[in-house]
Amino acid sequence: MRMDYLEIHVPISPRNFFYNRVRYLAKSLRSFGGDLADSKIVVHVGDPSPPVDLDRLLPWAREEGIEWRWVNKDFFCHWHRTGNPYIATMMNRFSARFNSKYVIISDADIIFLRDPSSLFSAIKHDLDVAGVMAHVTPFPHDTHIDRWIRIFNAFDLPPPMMEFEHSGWGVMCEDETSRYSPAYFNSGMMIGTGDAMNRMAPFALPALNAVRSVTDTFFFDQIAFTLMMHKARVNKKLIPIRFNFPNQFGFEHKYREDADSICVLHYLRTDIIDRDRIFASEESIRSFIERRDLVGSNEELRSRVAVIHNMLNGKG
Amino acid sequence: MNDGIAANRSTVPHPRDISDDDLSSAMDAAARPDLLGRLVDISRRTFGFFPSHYHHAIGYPWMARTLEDLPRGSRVLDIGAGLSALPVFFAEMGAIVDCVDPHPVVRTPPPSADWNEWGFFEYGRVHRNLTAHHCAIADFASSDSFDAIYSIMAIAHMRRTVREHALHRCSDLLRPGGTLTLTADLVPSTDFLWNLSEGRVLEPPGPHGTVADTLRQLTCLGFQIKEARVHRMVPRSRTDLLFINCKSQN
Repeated sequence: MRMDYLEIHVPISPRNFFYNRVRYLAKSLRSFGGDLADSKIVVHVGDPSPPVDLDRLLPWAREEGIEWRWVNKDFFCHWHRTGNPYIATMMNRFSARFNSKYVIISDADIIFLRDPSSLFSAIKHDLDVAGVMAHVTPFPHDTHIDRWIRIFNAFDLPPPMMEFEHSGWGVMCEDETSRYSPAYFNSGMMIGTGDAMNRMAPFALPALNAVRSVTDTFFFDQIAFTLMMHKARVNKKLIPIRFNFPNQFGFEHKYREDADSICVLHYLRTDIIDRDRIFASEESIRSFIERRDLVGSNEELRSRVAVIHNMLNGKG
Repeated sequence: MNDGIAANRSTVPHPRDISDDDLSSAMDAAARPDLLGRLVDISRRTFGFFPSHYHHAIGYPWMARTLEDLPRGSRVLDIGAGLSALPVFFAEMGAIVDCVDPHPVVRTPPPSADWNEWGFFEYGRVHRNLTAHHCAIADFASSDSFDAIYSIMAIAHMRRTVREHALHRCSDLLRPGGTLTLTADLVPSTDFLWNLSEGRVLEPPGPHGTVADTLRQLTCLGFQIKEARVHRMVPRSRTDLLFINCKSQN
């Protein structure tokens, strides 16, 4: 066990399907053993309703070592009527000092399919902050470069280089004008050193306000993260997409090698499988496990959920 | 700003050295401030200045990032090196680097105030992994093949026939699967390659060639284009920038 080695910060709303996702996320990591099995998992909970005692409501949480942090209600409500009603919960992850050597900022809809410790050897040279490029531009294609420049300008930063190809280019979008962005990572999973994240953290709220001054968008957090990285002058690196692989049609074809060795699956879609319905209840989890029509990353998710379900029910 | 950078700057800045404001701005914009900082440090230590043209603060770190994962002992060729931090950077990373430049002005240390990024520099003085060849790429002979060939802001400064011949030589000199990375100046808001060299017009823009002409030639030579990207509206620069990263399939 390595104390203070890795902490994972996950944003949720207080709903059953989120609790279950967190439980499966935690178990999927812990089940591999090794250096990362005892990583700290901090779950940030945002809602207009008053906080409840989640340790009491969810007895498994203590066993899985979940630390709950409620988002300040006023902060939550202030941002609730924007393009992303949950942005306060996401940004709350930067409100307190990180204490571990490494920090993962993730969504709740990820699950570990393989031991993620290989991530550290996949990052060459020194790590500051790394991630997978977001699938597509957050802006309308015809305003793509102009919006980036305006947002950087709003945060008193020079125009950025559009030097990283969107991971969904050629799959979800083929518009050459919006093929590249500055380092703009998908929020499913981003990793950094505690030191780099602590340098970025003071810029979280100012960055959010800068983005808001230019646009109202669902992608507040990802764009703000880009500004924070630049303002803190951290080194931005890409990691292989197998560490944040979406169950999105077309990615398995474009990234064949990674698709065969997915480490972190980001099950963000709601079409072939619906992330919210799957984890709504014990019964819905069971009926998901029984499905026999799935292929590719969706089948990998089903299979992993089945293994964890058996573990949780004493059959593993 | 990184202490290493400040430490290598003399009390009286070289007239060609990048200004503090420009460097600070470039650091804010950089994907990899660590690479930019190292390149500035190397350049000041070696030549007394880091080129003040802002596009170098963009092009050099991109090139360093693109090739930084080359294994130690890789053979690398720099075409039109001039006075650049990149050969030293790659040598310090363990690569064996040959630099080719035919410029008639030979820059002999110690650095002086009239130095700029143009000229022939005897890189062997700086690092044992470096060899400088005072000749054009057309006249450069090597019995070895290279793992990577790069050229930073040089190909647009060649007449079209010279440039096409140079790219042909690259395909001969590169090992199969090797990497060719190029940056070039463009006439702003156009796809025409920049047609001036040290203030002199080489040939009219049309005959000089375009981005598409260059990519077409590279494809015909058997290169697989992995990245071809234009960076417009470069701050404090009179040119746009072209970035090409391709792989030899021969």
